[in-house]
Amino acid sequence: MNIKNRPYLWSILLLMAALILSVAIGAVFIPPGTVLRMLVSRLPGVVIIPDWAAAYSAILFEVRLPHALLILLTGAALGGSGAAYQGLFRNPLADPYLIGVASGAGLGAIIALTANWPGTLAGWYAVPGAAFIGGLLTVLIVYALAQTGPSMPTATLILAGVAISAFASALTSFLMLRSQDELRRAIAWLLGGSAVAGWEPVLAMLPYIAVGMAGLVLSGHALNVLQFGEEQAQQLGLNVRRAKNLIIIGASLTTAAAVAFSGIIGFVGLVAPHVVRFIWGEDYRRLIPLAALGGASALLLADVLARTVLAPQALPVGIVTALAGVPFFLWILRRARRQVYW
Amino acid sequence: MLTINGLTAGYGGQPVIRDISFSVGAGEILGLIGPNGAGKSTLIKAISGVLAPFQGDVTLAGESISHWGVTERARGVAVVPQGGYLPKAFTVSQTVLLGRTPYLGWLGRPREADQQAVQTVLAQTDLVGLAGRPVGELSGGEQQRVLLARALAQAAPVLLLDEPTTYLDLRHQTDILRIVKILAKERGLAVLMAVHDLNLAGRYADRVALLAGGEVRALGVPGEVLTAENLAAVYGMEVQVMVHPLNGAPMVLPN
Repeated sequence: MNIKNRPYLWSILLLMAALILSVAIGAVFIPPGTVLRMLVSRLPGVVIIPDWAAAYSAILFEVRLPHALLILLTGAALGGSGAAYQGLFRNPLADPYLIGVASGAGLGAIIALTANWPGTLAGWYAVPGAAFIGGLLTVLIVYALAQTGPSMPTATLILAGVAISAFASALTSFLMLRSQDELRRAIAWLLGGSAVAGWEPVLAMLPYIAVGMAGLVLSGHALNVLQFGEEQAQQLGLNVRRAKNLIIIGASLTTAAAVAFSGIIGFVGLVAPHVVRFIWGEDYRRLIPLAALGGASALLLADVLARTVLAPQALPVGIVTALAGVPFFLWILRRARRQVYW
Repeated sequence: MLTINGLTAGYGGQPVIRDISFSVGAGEILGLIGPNGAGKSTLIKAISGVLAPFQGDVTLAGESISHWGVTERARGVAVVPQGGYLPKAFTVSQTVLLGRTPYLGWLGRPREADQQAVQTVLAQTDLVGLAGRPVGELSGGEQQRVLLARALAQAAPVLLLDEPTTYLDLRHQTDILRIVKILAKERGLAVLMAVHDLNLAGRYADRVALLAGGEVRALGVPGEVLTAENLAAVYGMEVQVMVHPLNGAPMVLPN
């Protein structure tokens, strides 16, 4: 079975494997076969006589599964929005982290958090809303700064992102220092160590991701046309303003949801779309959903590493993605200069 | 087919072209010549709709297109832009298929007719053998043919070309313009083509419009427009105009 011909099948198989691995590994190891049977036993109409320890149920369904799904949704959001930003900015190095959108969303979230640390489900919905506004403003500023012609030069884009990131980080630090009680939690969260647990954040995150990703998946063709630059895109019959609005809002929603619930996690949005491009080529209609699937798998695996390397202590997953992602980033930067494919 | 009535357009409130009027018939190639800054690209942008004109009107088969939406306009007017930027990672056939955008709908799912149109255009522009190759691997001349193919895939009755031969060697210049000439006749396209090279304009255009300072200074068959007096007045230098020994086209040589 050729991997090139079945992109969705392989991506979903990888995601399933990563998900089962993620919930199997922890302080108590639950064999993957048992995990599968436990999951199937919850399906309606299926009767499986439990042959597993009673405690496994609580571990799997109340701790590990919600945690894994939060990671999965975060990774999907970062992968999908990373691909969308790369298309929107017409630059292979755009990533929610590198262009500063994650920091902007982080600032928005911190403002909401320091105002009132969310203890209720309603609070969970306020934080991503603030993150969305922060992220949206950042994209608009970076886009205005980086736009110089049909292609957006890497230097301008990254510099604009760095400047905005620095500004947002400074404000974020300022806000954190003023509210010392939340300092530790906020720092852990910023490093991408999803400090939250349980089903509530998963449920709160889902609508943002669903709406944002739907907008991005529907924009695949528009992103393809936008690769020619805005002027040519219009001459080809694309309603450029509508397309850009849809993409910016969709990508900012998904990024904001990821940041609000999992903190600032870099490089997943860069690596996942590139691996997908490398295997399956450049077509945004496929690239967006495949990068989302790939980002979900990648972050699940990074999270497994983060939890096992120094077990029982868990590292923030953002550390693992940065350690793995920066060499990849440098490799792309080198490649981008000589490879025809950009 | 394409009629331009008193078109005035420019940037930031400053007109670059003023009160331009002419028409291009079906199957006709109108060459647009003139010095740098004469307003050739501005005129093409104003006709294609990426630049809103201050005054005047563009009509297609008698119907004003000024208030058409982007999709309708792309079905009516196709453009080969100057220095046309092409994403390097798309394959040739992917790129040409994106020329079908005005027929594809928001999701961009091609129908049988769209695939058919792409195949036809690839054959007409001699790109069949390169269909699966990434555009970034092609030579400049081949990339220019891809841009032309993408514009032809729009199946629009009007084709605007902005300096389609810049950076191309002699052979590729001729290749592109020959394809344009053949297809203009075959499909009955109204072609407006901005060219710097006066000899190419003289050889391939049915009529020539000489643009300077944002205005049309002369309009007619190449032999009438490409005269030493006209060119001296516009380019500010003396030239000799001769006749091509084989095809009778006017040839311009600086003194």
